[in-house]
Amino acid sequence: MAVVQAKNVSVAFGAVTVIEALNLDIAEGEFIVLLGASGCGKSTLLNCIAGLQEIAEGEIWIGADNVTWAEPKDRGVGMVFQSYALYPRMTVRENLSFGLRMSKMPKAEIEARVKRAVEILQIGALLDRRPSELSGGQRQRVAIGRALVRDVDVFLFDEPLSNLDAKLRTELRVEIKKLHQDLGSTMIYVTHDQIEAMTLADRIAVMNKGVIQQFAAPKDVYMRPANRFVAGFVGSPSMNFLKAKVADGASLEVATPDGRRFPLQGYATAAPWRVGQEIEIGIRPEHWVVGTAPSGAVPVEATITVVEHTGPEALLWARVGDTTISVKVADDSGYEEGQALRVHFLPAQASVFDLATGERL
Amino acid sequence: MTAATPRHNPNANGPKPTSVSLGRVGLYAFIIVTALFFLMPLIVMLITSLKTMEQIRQGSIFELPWSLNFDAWVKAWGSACTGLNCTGVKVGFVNSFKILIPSTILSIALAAWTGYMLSFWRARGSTVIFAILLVGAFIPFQVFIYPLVRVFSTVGLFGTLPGIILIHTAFGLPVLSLLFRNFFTSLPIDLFKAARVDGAGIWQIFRHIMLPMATPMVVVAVILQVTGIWNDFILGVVFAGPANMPMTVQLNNIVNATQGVKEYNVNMAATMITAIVPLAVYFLSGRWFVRGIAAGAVKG
Ligand SMILES: Nc1ncnc2c1ncn2[C@@H]1O[C@H](COP(=O)(O)OP(=O)(O)OP(=O)(O)O)[C@@H](O)[C@H]1O
Ligand SMILES: [Mg+2]
Repeated sequence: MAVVQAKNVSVAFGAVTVIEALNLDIAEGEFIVLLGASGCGKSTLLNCIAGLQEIAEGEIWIGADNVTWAEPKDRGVGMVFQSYALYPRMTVRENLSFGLRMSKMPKAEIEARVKRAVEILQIGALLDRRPSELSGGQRQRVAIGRALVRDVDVFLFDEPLSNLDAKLRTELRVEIKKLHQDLGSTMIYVTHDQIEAMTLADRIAVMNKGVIQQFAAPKDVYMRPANRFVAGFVGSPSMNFLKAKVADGASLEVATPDGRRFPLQGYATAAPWRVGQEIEIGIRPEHWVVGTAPSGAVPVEATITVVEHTGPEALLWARVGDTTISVKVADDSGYEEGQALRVHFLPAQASVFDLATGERL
Repeated sequence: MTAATPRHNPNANGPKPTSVSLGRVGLYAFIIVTALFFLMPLIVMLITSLKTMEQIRQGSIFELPWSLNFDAWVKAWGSACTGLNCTGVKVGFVNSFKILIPSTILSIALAAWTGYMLSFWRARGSTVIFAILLVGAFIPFQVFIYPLVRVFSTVGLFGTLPGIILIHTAFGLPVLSLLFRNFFTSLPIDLFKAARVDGAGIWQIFRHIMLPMATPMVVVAVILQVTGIWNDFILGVVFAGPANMPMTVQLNNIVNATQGVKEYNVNMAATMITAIVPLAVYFLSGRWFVRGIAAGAVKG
């Protein structure tokens, strides 16, 4: 268990700055998920914390120590990779004990620790096998075990489940969650999978181009995205955006391109609105209300273009003016292409962004 | 980790080839002729070495020996003359091993370490070292001989066993280092990262993780070095000194001795004995090579 802090960390590869003045403050025992597009610097940040990547500027703190210049082995971190990175010429037992053997730990102690890890991860039957004789899920369990035996304070996961099939991914996800509850260690977890992020994280750090866009609880990231990037990145299908202009700042009245005016009654503003300010209203696909409108709801006229059946529910793609929106409906019968559709949204569930800056208003 | 692939090409179309076509016959004929072309000298050498001088003078070179006669082999090994002394090739045989074994071990050990450092650690100046190695690998080594003779005589290594071992190690290093560097670069970097996080040091990662994975590369390097060093002539002549002449040099002295009659059977036997080591390496290596690669294959 340890606090992990990145203070003003910058990383550059040659002339390219990959991470710029990044600050991250992780509490003891927290489960943090790093979410972001490919190439935005998530692995790089993880490597910095592990001590595998030199940082150009700033400091990394783990617990009460400034570990900016410490060797990876002296940081009390364990790392689990997407590629498993098991040592191919060693058995599972040798893989697990490698780090301990290298640090010349007494044999009895090594054995005890391996035994404990094996029990937690239920890999007892695999001890004498080589990595090539294991399934993907088993390999990743062994890789987690390698961090476990070292009794690390901080676990770093770099897309650990990405190479597994959907069923195993769910299984291991639950196990990792349980592991976190049992050990109480600090965990930092990189993923592209939104469900993993939502279910595992105490807090999610959404990154874009080496900058953290929002660092908050999953529910906040989902319901109150801090800017247009976070809103568009988190959630699948993505949030719908309707362009509008502020007609009256005090009453939150807006005007849409088709000439309609309506107030966003019940929307909690984060910043004052200017008359004439160009904005985007973001509505999640599942927040549309079809049929009878609750009070305060804003109606939107649309035309269905595609109907997608996903089993329990349907996804309707529809045109509003020159934009396409997606609407999730629970009852999937009776919708047809070309049909006119009236949907409503509740301003309290919507997010409003400044068109120019992308910031939440 | 791929599923078993069918042996035939799944995309093959057209009629199944008939069992014997003219092209097939031509192909086999070509292969057989080529094989004979390369085998013939070996066969001639072998049968000549088993003949008596009397038969050599009378018969054709393809005639089989009248009786199995190993006298020429015994003489070639123990008492054939090179100018003044008559000790056969056995001295050279021993010398060659004395040069071969340390040079092979030393050059491969150093090259593996250099390749490892150049691929995973990338210390400051490693690009410069890499460039030097590239140049070193492609400059003809004759260029270095005279300067090296001067350097070696100044430091007292010229004409000594350590001297010739050092020469072979140095000349082997560039190519072998590049070989190992390329191999290590092809390994997943995550392995190296995992080992560092696990707490292994620079030497421990090399010794316990990278070197075991490099077995196929080590086999390739051993084959290159054993055949190269054993077959070397010019470096041996120049640097080894009279007491350490390798076998190739001694063979040349026997075959080209000017006094007396030319004993073709002894010359052939001496040549065969000299060729045994590289021949053995070639025959054994095929199997080891495949096994090494199969064992070292990185899966997943
Ligand atoms: N060794 C390196 N040399 C140069 N550039 C690098 C190096 N490693 C990463 N980069 C660059 O740094 C940026 C961030 O890479 P990083 O691996 O951290 O991305 P990521 O967020 O983990 O992406 P992904 O989700 O695809 O794993 C990328 O643009 C990448 O091209
Ligand atoms: Mg990554």
